Amino acid sequence: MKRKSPNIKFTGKVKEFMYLNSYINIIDNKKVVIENCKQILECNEVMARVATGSFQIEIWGKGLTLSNYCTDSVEVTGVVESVALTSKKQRKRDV
Amino acid sequence: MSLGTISYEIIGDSYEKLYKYIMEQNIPCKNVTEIKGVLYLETSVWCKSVLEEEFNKLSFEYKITKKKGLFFILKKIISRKGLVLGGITALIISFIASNLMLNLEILCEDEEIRKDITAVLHENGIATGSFMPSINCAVIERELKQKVNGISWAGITCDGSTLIIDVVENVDKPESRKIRLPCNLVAKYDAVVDKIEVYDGQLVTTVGSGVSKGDILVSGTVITEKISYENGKEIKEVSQKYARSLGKIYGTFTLKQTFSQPFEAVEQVIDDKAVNKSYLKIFDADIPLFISKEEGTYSETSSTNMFSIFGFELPVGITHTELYKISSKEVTYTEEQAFELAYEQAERYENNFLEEYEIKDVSYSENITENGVEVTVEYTLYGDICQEVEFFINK
Repeated sequence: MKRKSPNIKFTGKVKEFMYLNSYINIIDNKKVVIENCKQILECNEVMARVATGSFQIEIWGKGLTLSNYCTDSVEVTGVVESVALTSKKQRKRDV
Repeated sequence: MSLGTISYEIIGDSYEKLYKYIMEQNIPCKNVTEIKGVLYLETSVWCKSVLEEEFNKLSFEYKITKKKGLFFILKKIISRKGLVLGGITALIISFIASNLMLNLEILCEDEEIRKDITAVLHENGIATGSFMPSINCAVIERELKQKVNGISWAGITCDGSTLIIDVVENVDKPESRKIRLPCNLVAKYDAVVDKIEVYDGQLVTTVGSGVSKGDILVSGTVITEKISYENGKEIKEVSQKYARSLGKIYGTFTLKQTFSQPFEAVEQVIDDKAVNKSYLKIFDADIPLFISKEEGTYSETSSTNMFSIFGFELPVGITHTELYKISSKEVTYTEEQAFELAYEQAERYENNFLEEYEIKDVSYSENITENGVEVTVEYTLYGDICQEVEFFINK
């Protein structure tokens, strides 16, 4: 059976080439570092929500705190339980 | 952030606008979290005013819960004036002790040489309080060797805040074996011989005769003739011997000397007004109690008052120095003043060079030139007119 390769559009290629994609690093369950972050939407003890170019990222956990040391990147620290990504299109459709 | 961080407790309706502002302005924030509607965040001390302005704009209630970092420690320290003053004093003392010259040590016992060395150092701007790294030891050493009489070597060492000057005094030339050569007594001036005192040698002149400069008056070559008779025949034996001529030939002679004084001259004037400087003396060290350094040439007098408790003198005191400025002034003399100065020169000349002669007569003639005046003095002198001139014997 032939496996289908993911359909990567031209805009996707450009984003990759220009480093406009968001990069998410998860270190154990202690830290999540998100680069190319556009906006902090919410941050409380159990949930931190940030917006990147194409996604809204929700980090769920306990005792979460957020720090932004450098341009366009944030670091969420605490006990991370889950990371959820919702594309902006999907979100619009849901709304 | 390590310089200082501030923790805030903020109460507001929605924090989205604040987050947006933080991201837009790139304000570094740490430990941002919302607990029961209250937002907690930490930020750098440098962003305090910007952030607080935004809080006010958004009508947020906020309070600072914690301040930490070097910035606040320094602020605390600065508010304690004694501590700051102590720190500054320690810094100044360490700077003075390491960079300024507080003590001058001249390793020489001769008071005259010490004075000369101090004068040369002053000429080169080296005194207590001088900046040590700016002292060019090689140049000063060379100047000391050239200008100070009586030393054959000088070495300068900078030891902390002490400048040590080591000198080697001139070692007297070992007395060499003198061969007392025979000599003539020769006339120093064109003169008329008045009186003769000869102790050794052969006199070749007479009282009342005139002699020219360079004439032999008493010869060191003594020729003796011995006449004897043998069988009625005269036998003449001529023998020659050499002597070191000793004696004094007094004569009268004239000497002409011209003294000139220009109308315009540069004179050094010592100012009457003294500039007072004080030094704190601790043991041998003199710490200057002033900042400004006087430029120019000064004549100085100083005195030290040491502190004492119950009659016991402490090694701490105050040195007061009075500096009198020496300035050069261009002076224009009148004819009368110029003549007066020329006559003063003549007087000095008489005192210095004609002391051994008796001045029988003096005649002055004055002359005025374009630039100054001239006084020509003709002395008629009486005194010893001869000098010893050695000669070699052909063996």
